[in-house]
Amino acid sequence: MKRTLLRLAIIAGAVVIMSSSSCLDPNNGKEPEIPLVTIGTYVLNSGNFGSNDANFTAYNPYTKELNYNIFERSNAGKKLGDTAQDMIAFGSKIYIAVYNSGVIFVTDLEGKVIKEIRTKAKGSSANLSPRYFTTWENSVYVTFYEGYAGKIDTTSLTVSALTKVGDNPEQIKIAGEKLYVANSGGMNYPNYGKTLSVLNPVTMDVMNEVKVADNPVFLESDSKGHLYVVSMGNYNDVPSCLQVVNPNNDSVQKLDLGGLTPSFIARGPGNALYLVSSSYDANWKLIADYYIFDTSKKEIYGKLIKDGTLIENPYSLSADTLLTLIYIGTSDYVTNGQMYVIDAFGHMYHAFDTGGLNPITACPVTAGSQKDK
Amino acid sequence: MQNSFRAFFKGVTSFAVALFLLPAPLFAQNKERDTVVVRHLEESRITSTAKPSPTLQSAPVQVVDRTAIERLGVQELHEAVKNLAGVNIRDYGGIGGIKTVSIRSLGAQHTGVSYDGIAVSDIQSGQVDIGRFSLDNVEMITLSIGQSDEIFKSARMFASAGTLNITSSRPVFEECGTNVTARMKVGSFGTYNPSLLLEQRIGSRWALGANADWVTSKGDYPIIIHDGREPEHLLRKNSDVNTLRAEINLWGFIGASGKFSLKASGLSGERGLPGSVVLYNQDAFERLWDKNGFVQASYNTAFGEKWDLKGVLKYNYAWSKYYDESQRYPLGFVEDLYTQQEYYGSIATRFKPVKGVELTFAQDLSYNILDSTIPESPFPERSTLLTTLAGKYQGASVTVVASLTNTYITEKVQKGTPAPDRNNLSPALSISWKPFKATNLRIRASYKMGYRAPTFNDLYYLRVGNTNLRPERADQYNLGVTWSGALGKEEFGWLTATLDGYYNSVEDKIVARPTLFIWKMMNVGKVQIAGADLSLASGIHLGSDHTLAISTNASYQYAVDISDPESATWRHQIPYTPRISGAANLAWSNPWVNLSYIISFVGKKYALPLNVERNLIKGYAEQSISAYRDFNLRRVSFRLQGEIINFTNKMYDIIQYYPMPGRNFRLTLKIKI
Repeated sequence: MKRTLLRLAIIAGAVVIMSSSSCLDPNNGKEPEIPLVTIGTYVLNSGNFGSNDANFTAYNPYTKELNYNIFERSNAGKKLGDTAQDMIAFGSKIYIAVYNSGVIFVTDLEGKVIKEIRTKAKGSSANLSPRYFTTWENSVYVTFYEGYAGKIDTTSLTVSALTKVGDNPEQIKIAGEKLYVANSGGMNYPNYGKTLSVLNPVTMDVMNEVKVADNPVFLESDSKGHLYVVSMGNYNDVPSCLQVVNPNNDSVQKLDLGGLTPSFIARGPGNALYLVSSSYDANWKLIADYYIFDTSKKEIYGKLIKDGTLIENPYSLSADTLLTLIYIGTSDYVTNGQMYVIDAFGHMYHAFDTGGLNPITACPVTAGSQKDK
Repeated sequence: MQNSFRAFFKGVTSFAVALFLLPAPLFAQNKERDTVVVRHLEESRITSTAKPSPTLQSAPVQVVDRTAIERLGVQELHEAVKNLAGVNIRDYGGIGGIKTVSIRSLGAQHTGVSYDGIAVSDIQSGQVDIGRFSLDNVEMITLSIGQSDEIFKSARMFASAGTLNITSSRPVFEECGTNVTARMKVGSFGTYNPSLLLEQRIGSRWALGANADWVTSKGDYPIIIHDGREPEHLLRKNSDVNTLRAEINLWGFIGASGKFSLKASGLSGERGLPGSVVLYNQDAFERLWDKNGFVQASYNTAFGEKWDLKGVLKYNYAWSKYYDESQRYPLGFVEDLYTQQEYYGSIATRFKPVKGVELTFAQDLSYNILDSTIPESPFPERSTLLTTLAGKYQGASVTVVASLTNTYITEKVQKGTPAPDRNNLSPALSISWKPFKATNLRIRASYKMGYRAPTFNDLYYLRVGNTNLRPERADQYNLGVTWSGALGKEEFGWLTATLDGYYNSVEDKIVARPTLFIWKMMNVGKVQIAGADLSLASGIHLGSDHTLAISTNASYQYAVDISDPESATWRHQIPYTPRISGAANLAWSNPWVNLSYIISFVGKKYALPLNVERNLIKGYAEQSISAYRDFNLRRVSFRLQGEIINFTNKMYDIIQYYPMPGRNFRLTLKIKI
């Protein structure tokens, strides 16, 4: 991985040099805006709950090379822990949320640990369980399943602010300079959560609470700064649905997907929102299909996969907008996950073994970002 | 998934009462218990003790009797059971850790557990935690694989693929008619276990027994956690136990041949559930409370030489409370209550038309209810009708046993749809043949088809349950050879040997299958098991006061998943099933201090269906030694016993990330008046 990343960094550097020399210092002496380039992708395997077998794999989307068990190899055998949930690359660092271990690992781009962040709520000795990340300006934001949203100071690598939100928050996203948190209430079945908390991302104060359909879990923003929300329903008689929130007035509109039941969403280039539709047949077999949603027309644009590739048992959906690659992780919960990489034309680019159980996200690592040196 | 972990800790085992095999000399005058090697293993001498001879059976049966229990110095039921061939014990560690028994890779739900001849049931999880039984008053443990040769029993005891029978001791009185036995056990990790047994003879035909015992333990044993880089020395947290058990027994003779017994039993306990070791996170707050009580009466009578009858009535109540504390829960904690009730009755009759032939018919009816505070609990009720017809021919050289058991189950729920009615017929046939007159060599062959009905958790547990489940089917074939006899001169010693090869197949295995956002119970798996069990036991007299007893067993289990040839787990060994395992023990009885040594060995196994390095649980050998001595002061007898368990301080897991205790000590003082 090291060598691969270095090589990619050189390519990226060359791209950077070429691009900055081609336009004659457009920044008037300020530090140049360096275009972002994907230098690799980490695939995070959540592992089996209780088995301490989370890990991640490096994938080179240019050469299709794979390197397994990056965390252990970069940290002298140290294990990542139990049930990894999310991973995000920000500047020169990687943030990994290990839910059941109650720890956020901050590593360098090679996966070497720089800091282990453990977070406790006031008056409690238990570590909070990190769930999902998002980034904005110079900060990384994280949800904790115990009902908190935190702001991570990317210089000191500490949780500098912790705000109480709703029950069992899942994804967190910036839209229109507001921070939205999906309060799933997933541990309170059958009384799922029905709100998004809206926070000021600078002060972390709660600004508003937006009512949405039962069990909001997945969030994504579009190019216009609108927020898309998937509420998962109750996995029984209340179906999942897609909603859009206008951050100007926090109004919520439920979108008509023509009977599809959405689950994972990921932002693509332009007006594209990738979407997984999943449902069960009478024998509890999962039936899944993959779509592109047009965020300008607010309707399904078409199928995501156009070459007939059949992908069963989706477990995650991620996108690399720079390379316009779509990553669909699949899992049977028993054997190693598979990652299907779909290109911009909807053709399968590559499929590979993720080297662990339950691939929960594909995290593109970029170079050229100015943030967080 | 957390919810279904909770589900596992439900329900409670219940005990059951004495029914069959009441020994004829019930209140016989005190016979000095033979602490040296028992000699009744020879074929002809087994009638009065009701102890089955392992070599005579047409299907594998293994016995650990009181003498062996004392000789080995084992103090817990699971310690005795793990010395048997073909058995895997799942042990979550420590005194409070749940311990279940799986026979020949079939899974614990196929193992019937009986206490004094009556099935102990848990309708919710389908498996019995044998850690609940005290070994103190156990007379004998019998493990039968497939169909046993004892056919005069309740229909339920025919319905399992294998049974673990626990038989409790009955009083033996000296002149005064009152026995008092007090015991104090002290163990490592803050473990104290006082117990008291009172026995009173009432007239010449009745006896009363009462016992109580209390177990308390901090259970904070040292563990070593590897995050892969550096071992960290910690104490197991939240592993404490506090349990009080009490039991009253009444035994008596009614009329010429009637035997009556009544048992009332109660248990109340609280324990911490330490959970699996989670790297970087030592928080553990789960707790479990149990209250269990039952009353049971049985009556057994003969009508002449040829016909006898027995009946049982039982009521069982089991309550449990699960508590967990975490801010992940909206209220900061969760508390679930479960109440199981069972009403059970059984009638069995036996007809002996000619010598050597027995025909039996047994009819059982049980009614179970489950009440819980889990959201959307359907409050299921189940009525089970079990009917068995069985026959046995026992000649000088051939034994043939055949049985047919029908299970009919019907359910009702207060919400939603109940599972459809189910009816299953399980046949079993076994033969033992002694081909040569001159030697005690026997050949045995058996077949049994068994079903395990889906449990209430399988069918109705919140979101996970699936009422479309079919019963899980297990077919068992066994072919074996047994031998027993004297070693040289009869006074010198004896040897028994059994070797069995077997083939099992499990179809429609009931498995929790994740489906993206929810888990569902499904009939998905198919498992093929081929294996062999070897056991050898021997006793050697070394001079008049010295005896060596040696017993050893070894098992091989090729238990693989054959659900789907396309799957990556095709022909992989199923989880928690070692290919090889074994145990050996050696006891030296002498006039000074009786000593014993036990080693049990379990080979590598896997925690998950995929046989890869990261799912590997390493093999281990655990060794223990025990010493005891009896003293007499006037009419009072004393026994002082000490054990060092796992004396090599081997750190190992039976269940992945549930570390077992390392070296620990136990000291017992027993006083009998």
